[in-house]
Amino acid sequence: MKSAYQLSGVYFRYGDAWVLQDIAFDVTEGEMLGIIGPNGSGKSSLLKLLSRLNTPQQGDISLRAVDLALMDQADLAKTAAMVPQESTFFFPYTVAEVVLMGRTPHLRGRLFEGRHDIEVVREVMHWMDIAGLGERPVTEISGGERQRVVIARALAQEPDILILDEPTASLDIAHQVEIYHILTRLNEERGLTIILSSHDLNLAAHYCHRMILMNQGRIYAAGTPSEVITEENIREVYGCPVLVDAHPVSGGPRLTLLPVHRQIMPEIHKVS
Amino acid sequence: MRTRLIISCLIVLIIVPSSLFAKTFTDDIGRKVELSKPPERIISLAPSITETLFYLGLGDRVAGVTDFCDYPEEARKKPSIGWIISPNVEKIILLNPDLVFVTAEGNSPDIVETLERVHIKVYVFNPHRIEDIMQAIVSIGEIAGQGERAREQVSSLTRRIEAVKTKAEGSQRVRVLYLVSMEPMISVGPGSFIHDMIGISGGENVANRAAARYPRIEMEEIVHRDPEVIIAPSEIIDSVRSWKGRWSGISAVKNDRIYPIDMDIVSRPGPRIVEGLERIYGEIHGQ
Amino acid sequence: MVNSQDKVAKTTSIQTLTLRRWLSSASLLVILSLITVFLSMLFGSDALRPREIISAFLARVTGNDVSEVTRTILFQIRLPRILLAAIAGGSLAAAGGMFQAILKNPLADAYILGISSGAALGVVLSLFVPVNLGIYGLTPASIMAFTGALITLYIVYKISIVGGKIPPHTILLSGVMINAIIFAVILFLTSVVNSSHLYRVFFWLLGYLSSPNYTALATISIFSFTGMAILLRHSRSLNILTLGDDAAETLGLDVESVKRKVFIAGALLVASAVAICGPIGFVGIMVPHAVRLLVGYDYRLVLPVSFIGGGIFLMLADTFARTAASPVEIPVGIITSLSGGPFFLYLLRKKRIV
Repeated sequence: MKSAYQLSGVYFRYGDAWVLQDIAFDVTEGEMLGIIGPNGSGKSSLLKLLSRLNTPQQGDISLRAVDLALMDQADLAKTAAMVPQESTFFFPYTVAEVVLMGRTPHLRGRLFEGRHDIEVVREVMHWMDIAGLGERPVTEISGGERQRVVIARALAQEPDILILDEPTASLDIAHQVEIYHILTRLNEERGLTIILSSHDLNLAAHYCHRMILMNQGRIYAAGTPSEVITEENIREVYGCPVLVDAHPVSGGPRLTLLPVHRQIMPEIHKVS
Repeated sequence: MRTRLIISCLIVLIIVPSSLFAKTFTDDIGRKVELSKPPERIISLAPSITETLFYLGLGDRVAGVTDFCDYPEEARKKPSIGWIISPNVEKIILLNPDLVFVTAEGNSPDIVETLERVHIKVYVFNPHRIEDIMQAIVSIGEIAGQGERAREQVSSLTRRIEAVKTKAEGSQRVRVLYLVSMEPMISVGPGSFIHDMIGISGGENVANRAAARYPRIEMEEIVHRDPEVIIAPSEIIDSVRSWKGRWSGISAVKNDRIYPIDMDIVSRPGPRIVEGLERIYGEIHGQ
Repeated sequence: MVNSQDKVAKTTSIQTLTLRRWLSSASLLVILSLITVFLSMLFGSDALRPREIISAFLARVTGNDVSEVTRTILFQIRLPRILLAAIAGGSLAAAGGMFQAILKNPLADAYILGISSGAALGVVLSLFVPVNLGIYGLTPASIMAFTGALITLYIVYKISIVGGKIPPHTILLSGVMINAIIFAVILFLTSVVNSSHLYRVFFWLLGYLSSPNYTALATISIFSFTGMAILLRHSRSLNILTLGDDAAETLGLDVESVKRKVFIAGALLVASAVAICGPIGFVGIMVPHAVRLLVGYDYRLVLPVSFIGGGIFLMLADTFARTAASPVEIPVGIITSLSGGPFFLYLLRKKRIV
């Protein structure tokens, strides 16, 4: 099994305080990796290191055995594409124009997209089911549609790796499931390596092959969802009591939040 | 033999006069201006030059003036070529001048280059002192072929200047404040004509320590120097008079020695500058 | 996800800008520009009738005799001034459009980074320099205005760099700050300068076109076209940059390198315009907005159309400035500002300011 990413001894900070400390893990090609953790645990920063938006002060990151810091920018964009948490559009480009922007690393400085570029974009838009939105201004579509557009743009880069920062953060549950469904299909049908960060522990646990639990800039736990999502881990890292049992359909871990209510508390203690 | 002599004499008689008039003049910024004969059509790009031309009796040779050339009355009827700072070059060309007079102060340097480009002769004036103004009037006269008359007129002007100088000698220096504008307050400094005129008239310019020709001046400085006489253009004289309540500590305000003056006669470097000088003398010595 | 509309989806056409479309738009605009040049030539002093002018043009072909005066006015005075308007207007519009993208600010114009105040300082300092020291057809004032503009942009750039990157907000604030500092210096200098020279500086600040010589025009054009070439080269990258620096980076763009090059281009464009004409207002901010209403938001079109459109706009404004109060020539900066204000309000009402 080949490695997509290999990280060892990575330390990173913005100002004075370390945001990430002693980060080491591998990402296998073709896997779907979920990074979870409370706010401020370093999830976003880690993803930014993987997409080289930032460079670590210490440690090594290699992408397919090549030192990430030395990679050519366009080559990197053709290998790994990033879907940010939020996308604001200063100009109301059409959906098609936005997706076409994903062809940038392939244009190699050319000013105009060619027929092949258009073909790729058409296919990607069709795949993401936004073919009908082509002429709509990207500022006038719904949040769920916009997320699909941004993913389509990333796919237009023809990457082997897709990095997503909280891809379902502002979506309703239907769209959340829809996005995860798309990601799974991308992973299974097109062989993309998917690395995502999420606040929604249940959904991530349901779909990801492996997970990494971050806490205060360090890796607290890594492994399969069952290994990572345990009552002890969650209580320790998130600081709130939860109930973890087996999902009735998938068999994987199912996490239930336990409301902290004086009257119910005794009941909880009785149950566990 | 005799016919040949007569013909040669005739040739000489014809060529020499025209070559007598073919002169090269050097203007105030060192440029050489060649004229084969005295100019018949003159355009003036400054009100001071327009006044000078009419003063020398050359009014009928004036082919074009600026919008601001308002003296004498006849000047207003001349064709206008627009503003001093942005003259209409097309209009100048269409008026077909033999010579264009320009000032280094008021006009933009580009106009010289533009006119040279279309082969129109330009003469630039740049007077700094009152003597330069007198010299300029003479130069205009000489260029126009009226050198004698110009020198006569200028000597009568010079006599009037001397008269003022003589009268002012011996009497004590009067402290004078000349205000060019109110907001911001600007006075006159060394190098300006008005500063010179105050000196000639027996006055002491309270802003004489300034670095610029038209320096800003603060109330504090004015109070400190305590002028005995304040002179300002008629347009702003009322604002100065309103100092009565607050600044009565100033001698000029206390004694109500605040005098208006026509700005044109003290700021235009033309023949009326002498009139300005006489007015200033009169106001300084309370006449 | 993939529904039965397979066939329809596969044939969905995606409109994209091709080289052919670009060239045809560009040629159309150039023709429009040339027409404007010709029409502008028809106006000026009242004495020249259109018929005379047309025969003056045709004289080159038919060999008819045209009066020296007409020819001088047309080709020595009017034509260079009209061409200057075309180039200066175009430069300001293209630069303004670029700054709006880079700084992600719809109110950005060509002068937003203090370039015009640097040029003004150059002009004020040139008052202390004798007039004869010009080169390449440019007066000392123009040369120092040009230099002042470039130095200012360099300073603003240098103080805005944070860790090798230039955040839009930082550079915007730096520009505002430098602007203020330079104007303070100018105010100080004006207190030691003769006031009649000051009038010239204040007049220059309005922005006005006077007829340049062809050498100066050529010099300015070289700088302007160089800047424009750089901008066009990176016009697609400007689209990408509006997505945000991070998104642009992950798309494979060397963001800081593009910004640097594009700033230099902008500096050349603005400096060359301001050096000769002073800071003519509103062209840099209005024309790109108007152009976007016409051609959309793709900078591969917005830039060249803004260049041509800015040129046409300034040519028309200057024609009006020359003729409205003839023989008085109104500074063209007044005309552009007067027309800019109402237009800006119109855009605001239509909520088309992005």
